[in-house]
Amino acid sequence: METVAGLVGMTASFHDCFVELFNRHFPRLYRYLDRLTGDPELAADLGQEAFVRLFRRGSLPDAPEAWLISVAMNLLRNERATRRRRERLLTPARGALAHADPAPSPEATAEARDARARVRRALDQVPERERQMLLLRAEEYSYREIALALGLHEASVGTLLLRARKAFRAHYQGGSDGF
Amino acid sequence: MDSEPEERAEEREIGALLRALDHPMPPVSAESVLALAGSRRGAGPLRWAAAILLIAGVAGAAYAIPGSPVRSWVREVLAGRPATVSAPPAPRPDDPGVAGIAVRPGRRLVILFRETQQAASAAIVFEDRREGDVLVAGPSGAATFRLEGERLTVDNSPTDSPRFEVRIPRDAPHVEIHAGPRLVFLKQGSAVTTVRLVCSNGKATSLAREDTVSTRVTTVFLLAAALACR
Repeated sequence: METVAGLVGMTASFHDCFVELFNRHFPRLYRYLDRLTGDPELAADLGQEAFVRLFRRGSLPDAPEAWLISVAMNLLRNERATRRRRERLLTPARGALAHADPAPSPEATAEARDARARVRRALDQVPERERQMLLLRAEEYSYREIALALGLHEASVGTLLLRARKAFRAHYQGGSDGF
Repeated sequence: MDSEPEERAEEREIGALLRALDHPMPPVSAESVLALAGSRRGAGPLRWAAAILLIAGVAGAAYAIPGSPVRSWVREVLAGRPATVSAPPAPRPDDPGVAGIAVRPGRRLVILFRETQQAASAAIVFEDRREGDVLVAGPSGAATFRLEGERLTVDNSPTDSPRFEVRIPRDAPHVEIHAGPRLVFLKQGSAVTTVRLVCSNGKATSLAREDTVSTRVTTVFLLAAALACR
């Protein structure tokens, strides 16, 4: 039987690089998008689509991790715009169209739900760019990758991250007794 | 080095808090992404596919409206009484003269039709049964079924032209269908891509979904794609 690589006419080396990059990078790209959007299904779709686009590009960019984040963020912006349009168009039939079930959520304990809500509240209050930086850094992206992905100067990443951590901590502590 | 040790400690602390937001990792593999990407290759010129998707989307919206005549028409077609197309009715697993198998989809299920059959078709129908089985059926004698782990092999004859039906619960996490060496269908969560459906009239219907993000209306497209083969 033909392999997937054979079916799509890829060179073995690009296939190997792609698979290695996917295995190494997809989990953290997914986690970043999941935390950013709060929508695991959307995060999976965005992450997957970013990799599909990387494949269609036919070669690896200089900084593939930053490239993938950048593409995923563009897709997210498009998706938000499309979703707003779709919600307007489909409002009369929305109930009937909700046919694609989201993955059933696990039975979360009240404590876990509270913890999640508290972190989410704090994160949502951090300005968007700082929030993205905080989440990327949590996935151990380097300053350079963060700068490339978000279109910033590398030299300013440290300062902006410091501000992001400060803002998150303030909002998080504001919601309870402390860290 | 990007940051100082105390900063790293603070980052770790925040990282630990952020884990509270995490959901389970989706069952997406490099191979399925490659298959999805490969299915799109060459789809660029198929602008007609976009038109089909648009029509299917409109039809789907019409189907979704309670009391819509499209809904009753679809029911008739699904029941095997197509009024305007000449394809034979789809087999139902509970009909006499039909052989099939019911399989737990688990985390991943690969259905392999061993032979490609130019005049055969496989209608894919989504069902609302939660945690239900995937049902694969065809006319008696048209195929034998063999389940090994997460792979269901359908040994179908290359000379016949049967009509198969695959019923998939909407909550099945990952289902792939291959016809011979070709991936023809991929469902991951609610994202669905159909690559090539071989219809009973001998024509191939190709639908490569360009926007995997718009998952919430995908099954409408797929339903329409399956109907287009009837």
